[in-house]
Amino acid sequence: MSSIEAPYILGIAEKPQAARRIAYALDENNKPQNKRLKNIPIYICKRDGKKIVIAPAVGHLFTLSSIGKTWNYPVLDYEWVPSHLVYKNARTKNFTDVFKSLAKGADDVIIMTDFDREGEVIGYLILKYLVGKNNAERMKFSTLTRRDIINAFDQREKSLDMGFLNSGLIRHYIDWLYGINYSRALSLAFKRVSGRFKTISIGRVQGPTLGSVVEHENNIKFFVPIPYWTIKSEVILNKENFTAIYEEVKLKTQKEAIQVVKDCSGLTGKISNVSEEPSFLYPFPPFNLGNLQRETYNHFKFSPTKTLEIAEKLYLKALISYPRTDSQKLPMTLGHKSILAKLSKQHNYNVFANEIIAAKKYKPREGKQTDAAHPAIHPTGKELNEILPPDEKKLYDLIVKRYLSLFGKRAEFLKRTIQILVNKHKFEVRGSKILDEGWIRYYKPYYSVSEYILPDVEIGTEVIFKYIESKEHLTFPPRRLNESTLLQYMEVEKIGTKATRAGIIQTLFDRGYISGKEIMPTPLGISVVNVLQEQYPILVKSEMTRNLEQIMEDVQNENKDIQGTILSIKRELKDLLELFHQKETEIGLALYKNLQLSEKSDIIVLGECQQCKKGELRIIRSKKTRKRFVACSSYFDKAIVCSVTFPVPNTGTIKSTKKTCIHDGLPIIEWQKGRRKISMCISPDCPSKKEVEKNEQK
Amino acid sequence: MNKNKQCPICKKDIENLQSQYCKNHSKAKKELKKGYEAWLKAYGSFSWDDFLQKILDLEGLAGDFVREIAQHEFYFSNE
Repeated sequence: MSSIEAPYILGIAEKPQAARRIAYALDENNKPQNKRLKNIPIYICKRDGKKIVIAPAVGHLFTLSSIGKTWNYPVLDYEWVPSHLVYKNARTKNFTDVFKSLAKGADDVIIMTDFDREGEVIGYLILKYLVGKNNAERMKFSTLTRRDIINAFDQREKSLDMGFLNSGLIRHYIDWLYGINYSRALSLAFKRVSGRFKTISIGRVQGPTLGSVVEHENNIKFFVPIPYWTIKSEVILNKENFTAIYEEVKLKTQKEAIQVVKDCSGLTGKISNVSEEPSFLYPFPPFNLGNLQRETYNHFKFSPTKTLEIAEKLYLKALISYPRTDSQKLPMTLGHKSILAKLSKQHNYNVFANEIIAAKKYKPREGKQTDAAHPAIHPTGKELNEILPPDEKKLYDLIVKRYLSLFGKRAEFLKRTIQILVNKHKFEVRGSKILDEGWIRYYKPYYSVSEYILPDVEIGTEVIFKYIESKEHLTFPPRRLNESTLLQYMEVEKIGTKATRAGIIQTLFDRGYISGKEIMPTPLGISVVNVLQEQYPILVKSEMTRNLEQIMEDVQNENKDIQGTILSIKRELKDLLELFHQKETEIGLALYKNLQLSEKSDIIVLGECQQCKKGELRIIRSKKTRKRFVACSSYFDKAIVCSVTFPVPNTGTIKSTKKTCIHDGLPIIEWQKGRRKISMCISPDCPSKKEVEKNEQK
Repeated sequence: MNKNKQCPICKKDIENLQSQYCKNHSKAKKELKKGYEAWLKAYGSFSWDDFLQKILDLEGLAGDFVREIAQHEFYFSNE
């Protein structure tokens, strides 16, 4: 297949776009030869008198698969196999074939994948199973800019990073072992009791994440609001009205609140103190992936997965550095002066970039978190050669402005507090004046402050209370988690890694365990967690996964040997599965009961049946086929036997909207799957659906 | 676990022989009682029935399990 003349150095890149960038940077004339083998783009470039053939992968070309075909557990033996042999939809076969073919003429290999655990594993598996080698030279870069790529080539390592590789491999083994065994164990436990098969999947990270969503939901479900009181008052200072805050913000009893109002009503207060103090606000730390995902959710409502996807696109366009990083550090070796100079040529940022250059302050503010492989996310300064799609433009703007803000001066404020005494009760009027906005100017509109200027007053001046009253409040339940707060929770609990957290949340959506933008566990998610919490709690608690993370970190730091570690994990898992096996009937029964109850509670009444005018239309699920449909309750009434039915989607959640369709008067339902939410008439022949179809065709 | 006795609210098995409700509704009742103590302290005097009525009116604030148990206590309990 390969028509490229040997010998050459084979470069293994992670993605086609990365291969192209690397090839253009490495070729001495910036014009690599572009060929297509099996429709896969290959780049041939020349550097230092050597021919380099760069071929891309498309993420992982291999996946773990069990040895042996029985669908049982424990499954402890596995092997790496090409992904296209396991997943019918994987379009990786041509990539695999191209590497096999190119390997024949390669006298040397350089791994050019992203420098992190996954990049190391992707490169190693291609090297081992398609090229037939165990080690190769390694290029390490954090941006796909020409400067970084050439540096990475010139200073390439003699071998793969064994710490990253082993830690990446063990992560795959552990996740595979826990995922396959416990998913099989749960599904089989359910099948043995119910006689029917239902996939109930769980993983070492999925379980604790789902557990925390259910626990949070329980905090909301068990919440009892408690009353408290605040004192609201307004005073007149220099003929202007100001809000005065009572010294005790929350009063726990009605009696206290009434007493304060009674003590102060109709009286004049006196200014007892005026204090001023400067306050400072320093720039927020540089973005690591978690911070970026949270900030984009707050400003643009991007899900963590979407943020990562867009950030990867910007990285592949060489506009930002590698986004999968924990680091909040931006070392001086990155060449901030040069990045700022380049940004000063982009019209959106030229004013502030030039201001920083003029101030000659090239040391950015940094955060505490570090990452062995990459610096914090930052712009490369590369010229924008194309108009970015709107979402990419938003993310790029946020990243650049955050970066610029790191070079800004601290923001300075003057805080003033006026203390008023009335009948032994203390009130305060608080204000703030902006002295210097500092870095905030660079980070607008993503952060802003407002000032509240108080007049100059003297101690002893009498103050008139315009009004004073008590107000009753009730405490609020905890707010539902959203993808951003769930991600933050996972970070704090050390569940998963920066690279996997967003994916885990997505998996929980995909498997129907959670739903909604304000995340709620589904009846299925609640049932699985309830049963596991009672019968097998380690799967929904974060301790186990945290311990495993520590083991993986030890492997990365080469404090633990990978073979010995995996053997001991297998032994431990085998014991745990034995324990599961002993409880299998109990677990299966509990799952069956819980799921039956959650399915029963799924019966949704939509309204009166228009055909028989006696029964009500309900959404039910067939016991035989497990399909969901709308039927009339009078079907079982021998006098009526109304057989009207309507089909509804089998997956996702359905709610009654209590509205009827303007076309046929039938109920409108709200269907939600993952983040998708659609309101629709239950009739498949409804003209409203035909209108939608027509519009889609157009 | 007693297989014959079910929670009158959700039909799940009761928590234990001494309990009238399932695990969730037993916990909700404990929370409800704790909440009542806080309300009593806050207002000085407050009847149990008034409290239950108030909780039933607080849809969106009081949790679902708490409202379910409050409803059951309000209509069916002899306490």
